[in-house]
Amino acid sequence: MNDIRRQLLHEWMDGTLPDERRAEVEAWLGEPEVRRYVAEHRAVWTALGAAFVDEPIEVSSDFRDETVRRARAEERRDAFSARRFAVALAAGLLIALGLFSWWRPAPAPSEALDPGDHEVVRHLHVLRDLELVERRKAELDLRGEYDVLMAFAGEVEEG
Amino acid sequence: MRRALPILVAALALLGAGSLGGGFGFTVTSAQKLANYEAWQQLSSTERRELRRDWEQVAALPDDELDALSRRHGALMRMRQDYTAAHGQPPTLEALDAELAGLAPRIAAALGASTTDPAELSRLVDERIARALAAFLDNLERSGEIGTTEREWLDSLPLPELVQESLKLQKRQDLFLFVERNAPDQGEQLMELQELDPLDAIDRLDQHRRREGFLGRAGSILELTDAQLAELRSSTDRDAVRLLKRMLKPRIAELLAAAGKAPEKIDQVLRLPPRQLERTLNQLLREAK
Repeated sequence: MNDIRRQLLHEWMDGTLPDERRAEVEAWLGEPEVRRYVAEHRAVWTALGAAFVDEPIEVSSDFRDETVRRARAEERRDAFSARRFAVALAAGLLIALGLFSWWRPAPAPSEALDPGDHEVVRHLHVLRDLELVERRKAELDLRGEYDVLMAFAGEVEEG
Repeated sequence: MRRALPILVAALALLGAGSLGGGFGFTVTSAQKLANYEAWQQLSSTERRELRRDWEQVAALPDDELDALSRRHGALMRMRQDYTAAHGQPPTLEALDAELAGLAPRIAAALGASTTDPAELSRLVDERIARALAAFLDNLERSGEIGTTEREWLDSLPLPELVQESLKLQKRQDLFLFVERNAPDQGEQLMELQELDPLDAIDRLDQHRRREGFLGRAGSILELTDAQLAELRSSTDRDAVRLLKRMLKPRIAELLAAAGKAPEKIDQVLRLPPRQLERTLNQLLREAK
């Protein structure tokens, strides 16, 4: 998945994607990789209580209209072929069944977090280092300063 | 006397405050959130209870202590990243502790200082930061990356804000060069780098130089031999771009000569400080395209 797609998916998940791009982005949701990406992010964000539009994945009216329009156009083209129409209908049903199966709310995380634990989990990596950070204050201050120096050291020619 | 230290500490605290997420001074990337969530699932109820107690104490800290904790933890996380890049696996807490125990002598050796006293070393580091910052802004102004008005504004800032703004500028410069290289998998890395604090992003991109060579278009052309890569990766010198310049100087001269640059121009480019050389090579290759 490229970064532009990822960025648009994040906007879609945040509810900040402009309406005119919704149908395009929702069309990608048919791809397993995209669905997996959305489900993973959604599970974590929901668990950690981050800003997230926590709604089931719904199809926009634009997307629905476009799908119906395309289906009708297909239907017209195949109007004289009952056999092809039956095949198209069966395929449509299969697609509808497939869409129904994944256009459900994303699965809940394996264990829902207590709201009181959101900040604890968010900062878990900090909490696990607390004792060392407390004991090595002076060294970590020095290291932080040295990191700033290293960010600019290459701006000066030696000698 | 540590006259300059409080200024730098204030600058780093400002950096932390500028990247607040969730009301506290810790930047937590999406990848870290995911890792934390997964780790939490593995913990026993006793461990969780202890962590909840620890968090209560952290959350109750006054702002200045919370900023200090955030700043120190940021430094520890960069050490962890550097260790992982060098050893191929993340360090244990014991390994980090050992690294920290030997930090002052290592920095003293790098600075050529005769003391290992942390306060004295801090003073020396701060002096060099002030010099390097002035050189950075001169380099950007001379190459037209910042205009006179922006330079005047930067010069008018108190040192803590100047450090903060300069780190943001440096991050922007490094990210631009990173994108210019146009590596196949750069999109995902770029998103992660954008999430990071400037200091963390700059450090991460320095690790990238250590693996791949110069950032920017020059990196694609000046490929490193296996021996050079091994030297780069095993070097304890934190200034990877300076090491790259030293290793690749002859090839840069050849490249510029082949592109029809006059000997005086080649000399002028090779005399540039390492980071400005990296930017200039990128610009020359852009123009040559």
